[in-house]
Amino acid sequence: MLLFTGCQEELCEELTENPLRVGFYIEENGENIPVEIDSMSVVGIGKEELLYDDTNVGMLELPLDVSRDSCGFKFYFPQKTDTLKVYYERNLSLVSIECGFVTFFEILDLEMTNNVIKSYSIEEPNITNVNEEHIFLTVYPDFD
Amino acid sequence: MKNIYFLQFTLILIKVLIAMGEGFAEDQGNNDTIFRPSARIGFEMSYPARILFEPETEQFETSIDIEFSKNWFGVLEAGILGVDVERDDFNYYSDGYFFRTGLDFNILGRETLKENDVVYFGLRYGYGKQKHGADNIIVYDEYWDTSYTTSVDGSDFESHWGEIVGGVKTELFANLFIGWSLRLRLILHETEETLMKPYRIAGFGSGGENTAIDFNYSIFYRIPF
Repeated sequence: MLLFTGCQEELCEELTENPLRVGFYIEENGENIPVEIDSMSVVGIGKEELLYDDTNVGMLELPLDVSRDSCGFKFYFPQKTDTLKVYYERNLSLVSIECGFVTFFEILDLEMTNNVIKSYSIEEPNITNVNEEHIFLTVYPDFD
Repeated sequence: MKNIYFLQFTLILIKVLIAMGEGFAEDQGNNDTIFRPSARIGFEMSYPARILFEPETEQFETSIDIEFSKNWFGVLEAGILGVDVERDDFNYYSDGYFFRTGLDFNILGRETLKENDVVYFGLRYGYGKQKHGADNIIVYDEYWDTSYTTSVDGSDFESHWGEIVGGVKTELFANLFIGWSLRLRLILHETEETLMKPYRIAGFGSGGENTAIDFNYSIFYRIPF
């Protein structure tokens, strides 16, 4: 029974996990090449708790606020900072009786400062429990 | 319960073997007079038992089958479904009804008018309609530390499916039968529902799946005409 409960919890976590996934890229010869950012910190705007603390990352997983239609994040790069604001639509969905409801999102628009981030693109506007990147952020060549 | 299934199965198996041994196929053409139309009313017994394991789901089902031609039965099955799930962060409810209709063919045949046991295979068309919704849904976000409570208004959900069925009906006493059946179901069409798939589809099985396997255990009373 305990094993079943543990498996169920794990399955539910998988099915209800739906962060905004943001990948970092650098443009080389017209192509987006994945890049890792050293010593990066991220915090939700209006929050104190860091989502990433001085971490090397190639992709961020950011929780969207389920009770509002927009939220923002501040990216602390080693030298500079950028902010990302995400506007979205929320759709409540019953995953299963065991796992309950989950909020899926559809990205409507983005706002981004351009200190380290050169440009952005929405690759997949629908944020569900499918593990995929939703936004590509392209950094300047001299980002570090 | 397992002993009853085993006994039933053994009895039927013996009868099948005897029938085969005596040239069952040959007898088919010579015994056309061994047929008396009858109707059998059935009550599904496994659903009440399932309440012990799934207290949130209640389903009741009755059936009628009529032998309109030797070894051919017209079947109508109908029932109701009720689901009431209460969780800390949501309540889900569903109420509906269903029916299935189709034909069964008795492969056991019949040698005398006294032999009423059947081993059958059949096909069904099924239809279910239900209203389902949810309330007191508490949506909470750990990082942003925000939450709100909402509900999903009840909406109608319809489904159509096809079904292959096989089973037995054994006469325990005069005109009183017990029987079981195994069913394989395939959804043909259902209401498009992106927000909330039914937890249980009335008469079909688990929601969100295109196929279902089900087992029924019933008692029947035969009314000879």
